[in-house]
Amino acid sequence: MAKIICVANRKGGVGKTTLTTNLAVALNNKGKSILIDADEQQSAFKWANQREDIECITVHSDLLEKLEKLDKEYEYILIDVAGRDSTIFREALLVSDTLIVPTQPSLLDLEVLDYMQEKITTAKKTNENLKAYVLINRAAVRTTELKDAIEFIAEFDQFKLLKTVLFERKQFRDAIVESKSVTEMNASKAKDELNQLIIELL
Amino acid sequence: MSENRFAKARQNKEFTHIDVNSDAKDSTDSTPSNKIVTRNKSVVLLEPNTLPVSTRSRTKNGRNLTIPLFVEELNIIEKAVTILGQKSDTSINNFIRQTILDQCKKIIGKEEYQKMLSQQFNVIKTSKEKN
Repeated sequence: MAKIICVANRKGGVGKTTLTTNLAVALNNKGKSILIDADEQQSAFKWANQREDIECITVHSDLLEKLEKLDKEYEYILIDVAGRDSTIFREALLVSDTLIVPTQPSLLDLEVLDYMQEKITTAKKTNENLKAYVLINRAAVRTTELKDAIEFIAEFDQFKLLKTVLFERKQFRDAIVESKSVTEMNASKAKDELNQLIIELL
Repeated sequence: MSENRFAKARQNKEFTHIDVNSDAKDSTDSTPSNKIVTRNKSVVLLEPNTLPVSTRSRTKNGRNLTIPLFVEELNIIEKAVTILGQKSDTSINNFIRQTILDQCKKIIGKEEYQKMLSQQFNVIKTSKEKN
């Protein structure tokens, strides 16, 4: 039975796909994995298409049926969900083992957590094993915003805040353009942060 | 996790299909529910549209979207509509509706947009949801 990891947030532009592509490489190194791109923009799918080692499919309907078929074949299933509410997003919550909600540390982004918590609470009535994490992503260096965000997120009892913070770094953008993970590129702070995240998550 | 997690998930249609935001409706949801619980906990009952175009009214048969705005934001919209009104007959409601729908069409694609537009329903009853 596969471990299903879902990367989702109702808010767009929080770095879901960048996180997903980097996690896809890490999971692929760990066991037989497949990446499901459930976002109509298909950015993760296009990224994976440039590589030979990452299995990736797009799914825009019947997620449960497709996941069930993949469940026995793979050790890890990673789902990139579009930044909005949808049937696919809710279906993913009902069967995922892990939900990662990347968020920027700004108030506009954090406000969405109320909505996410509500949906997680409902989903857990069906999927009691769901573990929900918040990852502070694209954080600005040297601002007080991060400290405020950490305090804000601590108020949500359905989320565990990941200790790792991914800062806004050019290396993440360069990696996705080159269809790589930052872990496959030269030494950088982005690489260190991602490695730390992988250790914390996996 | 038990092996029947997918079967359990499938049973929870209420979560996956009811009150999924209409502005983000999933393309798989081809049969909208007749009952919708709105964000302010009102229950909206729908029936397939049988009214002719001349009789069907957004006010009488449709739903409302309320968006809080700062004064200056509304001023901007009003100014834009005033300028547009000099060239063609328009209103704030028409302007907002059409601008948003045009943007939605770009996001969800023409095919999905037309498909959803053809699924016409009318509101027949609203009431507060009982807890």
